[in-house]
Amino acid sequence: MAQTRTRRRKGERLWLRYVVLAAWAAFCLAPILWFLSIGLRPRTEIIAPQPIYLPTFSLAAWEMIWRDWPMAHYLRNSLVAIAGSVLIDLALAIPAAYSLARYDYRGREDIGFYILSTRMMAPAIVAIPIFFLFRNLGLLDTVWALMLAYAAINLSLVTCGPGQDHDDAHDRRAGGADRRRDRHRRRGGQRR
Amino acid sequence: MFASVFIITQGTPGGATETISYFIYRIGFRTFNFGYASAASVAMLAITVLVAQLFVKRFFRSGRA
Repeated sequence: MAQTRTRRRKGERLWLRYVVLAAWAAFCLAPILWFLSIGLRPRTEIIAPQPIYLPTFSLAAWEMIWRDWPMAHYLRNSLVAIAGSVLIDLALAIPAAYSLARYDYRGREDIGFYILSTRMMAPAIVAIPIFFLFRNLGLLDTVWALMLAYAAINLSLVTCGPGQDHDDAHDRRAGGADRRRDRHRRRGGQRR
Repeated sequence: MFASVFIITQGTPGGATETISYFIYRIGFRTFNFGYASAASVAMLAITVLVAQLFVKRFFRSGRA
């Protein structure tokens, strides 16, 4: 924050930032807008050899996905899997994150880093064990398998994600005595 | 590095755009050679741990891990 303020006081041009950010936003949005424009034109104009700058408007493709595919069912699957995995993660991560942030015990940093490090692993490494696990549990081809897999993969981020140093976040809110005690605690934790 | 490969090229042409993740998926769930795919998984885990270990040693000097 302080750094930003000094830089701005030195007279760095704010508009340049906006131009760069706007250009980057346009770059990121372009493929999405392109797909939207493809989705809203009739089939013959998608595969036309020459570019068509003023395509005719058509909702045929949108009609088709709702008519020929069980889109509502797919959306419900996603909602169930995501909502369930969030609930599982919160139930597991809230106590874990609280204990990592507020208490000092042997191996606290190591346990926290271990939880975070599961994120560094490529999910493909555990794909085969997970497949056999779900097969033995009879969960293949169910939304529950998806829910559990999401919960397992995202647990590290839910536990360690928001605010890398929980001590500091707490320090800013807490009063003086609390802050001093916490700092003392943190030093003790690092010395070990 | 799995989703982009899976969506765009599926490792083609001739494995030119194939990553280890996609290789594991192809061997395991396309040709059902689970032993081979498991071995590849363990090898990839070993590589990941090695690289992560070097990275952590280098960048987290405050006694973490």
